[in-house]
Order: sequence, then C-alpha cells, then structure tokens
Amino acid sequence: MLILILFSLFPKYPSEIIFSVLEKNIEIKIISEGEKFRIEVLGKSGEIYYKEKDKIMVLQDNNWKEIKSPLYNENNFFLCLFLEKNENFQSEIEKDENGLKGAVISSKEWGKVNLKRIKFNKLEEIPEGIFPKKSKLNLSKFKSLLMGEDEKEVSATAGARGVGEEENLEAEPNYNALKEVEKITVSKEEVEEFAKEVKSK
Amino acid sequence: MKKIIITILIFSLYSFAQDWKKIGSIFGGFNREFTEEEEKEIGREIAAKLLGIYKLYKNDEMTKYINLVGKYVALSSPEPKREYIFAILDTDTINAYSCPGGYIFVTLGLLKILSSEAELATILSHEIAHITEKHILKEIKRANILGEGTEILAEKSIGGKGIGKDLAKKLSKKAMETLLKKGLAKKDEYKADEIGFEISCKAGYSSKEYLEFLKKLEKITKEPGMAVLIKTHPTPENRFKELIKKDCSSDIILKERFKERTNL
Repeated sequence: MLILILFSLFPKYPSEIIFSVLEKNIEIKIISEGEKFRIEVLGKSGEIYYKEKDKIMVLQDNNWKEIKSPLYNENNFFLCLFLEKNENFQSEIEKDENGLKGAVISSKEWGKVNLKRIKFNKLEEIPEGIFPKKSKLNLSKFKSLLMGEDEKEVSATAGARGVGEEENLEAEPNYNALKEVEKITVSKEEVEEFAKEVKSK
Repeated sequence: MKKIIITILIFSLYSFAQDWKKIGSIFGGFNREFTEEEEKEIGREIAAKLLGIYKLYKNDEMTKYINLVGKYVALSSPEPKREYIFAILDTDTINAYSCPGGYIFVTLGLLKILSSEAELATILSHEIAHITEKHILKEIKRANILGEGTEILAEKSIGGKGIGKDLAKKLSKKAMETLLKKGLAKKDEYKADEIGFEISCKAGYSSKEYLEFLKKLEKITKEPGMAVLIKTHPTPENRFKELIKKDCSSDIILKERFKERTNL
C-alpha cells in the first residue's frame, strides 16, 4: 500500500490550498474565508466529511450537515473525502482566526491515486514509517465516529472498505433480478405445513 | 339569489380548502400516509437498487427455506396479511435489508454466521418489524428529502393518483442512503429488535437465540463485512443490553434443521 504524505507549514496564511488527484482528474480546493472555509471538488463528486472542534459534518446538497456527537476538541479540522470505490483522500488542516495555516495531507490508496498539491510545491513521496502519529490517531478516531458512537477501535481500513464497496449508490437498479425475486413463490399450504412442522418440534 | 350566494360561498370555501391543503403540503412536507401501492412502488425501486449493488444468490432450496421461515413468522406479526418476499444477496457483507412493500433481503454473509432457525426467524422478524412500523417511509418523510419532490407529492396527494415512477426512484435513492450510509434512527432499530423478538417468540421460536447472535456480532465488529451494519445500527452490545430485559418462554431453536436446509 502506498502512502503519500505532505506536511507543510505556510509562511503566510494562504487563501487557497489546491490539490490535484493525478490520474483521476480530480482537483480539490480548500478556500479560506476568514473563520469559515469552503471546499470545492472539481471533476468528481464524492462524500465529503469534516471535523471541526466538536462537530462532524457531511456535505450534502451544498450544505454542511452535522452527523455525529462530539468526542474530542481540537483547533484543527479533519477533512475526509470518499471519492469512489477504493479511493479516498484524507487531510488535516490547521487553521486559526486568520484562516488556513497549514496542512497534513495523506492519501491511502487501494486503486492508484497520486496526490499532488499544485498551488505550491510538488508533493514528495515519503515512506510509510514516518506517517505522523497525530494524523494516524485522528484518522482512527474519525473513522470510529463515522462507524458508530460506541465503537472506538474500528480500523480505518475496514471503514474505508465499507464505504467504498458497500455504498455504490450510483449502481443501476437491476429490474431483471427483481423480476426473479418476484417470481419466488411459496404457497399458503406450504407455509401452513411448515408451521405444523415447527410447532411439532 | 340566496341559493346562488350560498353555492358560490361553498364553492369558494372548497377551493380555498384545496389551496390550503396544497400549500400546507408544500410547506409542511409530505404529511399524509403512503398508500399500499405507493409503498410497493417505492419498495420495488429500493429492491431493484439493492439488486444493482449486490447479486441475487440463486439457490432455490435455500431461498424457499428462507421464505418459509419468513412467511411463517410474518403470520405472528402486527400485519399478518401483508405479502412478503424474501431473497438472498450473494455477498459476504453481514446484513439484512427490508424495503417498504414487503421485500426483505438477507446476505449470504449473514446466513453463514447463523447457527439456528430461531436466530434466522428473529432476524427476519426484525426486518418485518421495520416494514410494519414503516421505519424507512418515516425516515423519508422525516428527512423531508423531496425538494422539488415535495411539490410533486403535494400535487399527487391531492389528486390521489400515486407518486409515479420518477418520484419513487428519487425516494428509493434517498432510502438507499438511509439503508447503506446513514442508518435508521437508533430508536427505530431498538424498536425493530423489540418487535422482532416478540414476533418470533409468538411464532414459537426461542427469541433468546437472537441474543447469542448479537454476541457473535459484537465479536466480529472489526470484520470488513460488518462495516455497513456497524455504521448503520446501534452497537451489538447496546442492542444486547436493551433486549436482555425481555423474556420469551418459547423454546424452538432448530440448529440441525437450519444446517441441513442452508447447507452452509
């Protein structure tokens, strides 16, 4: 599994951080607007979650909607995009009252996704071993939050796999298979016979 | 003259009432109950969507067995006359899904971890409870997901002509988000556990076996096949805590028959 990491602190407060997911023609912009921020994903739609202070939010129909209760409180926020099957993108972004301050970006990949920050310097590939502990911790907590209020130790991999493989809501309805289901018949007599069998046990 | 005035007055009041009903529907969301036909229409779309995501598992014997157990316990449900169809999805994911209108799916992954007919019966009863309690339909209405659909529904609710295929499709997409992403309200899951427990107990099965099933789920929460179920349901531990309070004196378990009939 290839892990690409960028840790960068900006000398000045940037108004925009732009990332490009190479080979997939996806561009992600994080735009600072003072205390607020805006996220644009160009070229691909996907689920976007973020944690800020005590809230976990999901972007739905261009509005942020709170989805879970708070578990911890920090000044940075965690952004997570589930783009499509087997792909995701995660980042931690520091910000303060002036806006965006810096970012820790990671991309775990199951397909071949190469992440590049295009606004400033090109990302450097860094070995998995130096993955920042803090980021790992937050990722795990975040996944736990998404996967259940009482589940504290669910692995990030399982969570991402679930999202990627199970939630293919864009799949076309299969009416032929439905017709096969609707052909399944069990007569009233068979059910009555079965009931007798159960009760005689 | 007096009659004409009264007629005009009645007609005006009627028109006003119709407009008010429409306005109320638009601003207040979709307030009436879905008809049986509409439920079925929405359920068909959701079922077709599910079958687009997961393959149908084709095994006549096993499918018939699931249908016999399901239809039998349904006779002890709050709506014994409702028609149900049970089918198996060919996936290692551990889950079961119920769609409005009576379509119920269990996954092969779920069947593989069961050890008795009593467990199966209570799981199917849980899904039946989601349908009789109209949990997904309530979720659709609660979320007021319709946007432009609200207006369409308001129109349809006045005309009483059903909701139409396009809207059923739109609703099914939102319902799928509920089934696979967001999950139903936790109280609805607890309620389905409770009613499901009662249904299978009333049918003669030892619903206490369901507690064993929840214990099994608790042990495998980190398995990849559990991701969606964990995300969309209260934890097995909490469900266990809620159900342990309930009693069931029925004692049919049928481990051997379950093994024979499912051959898993």
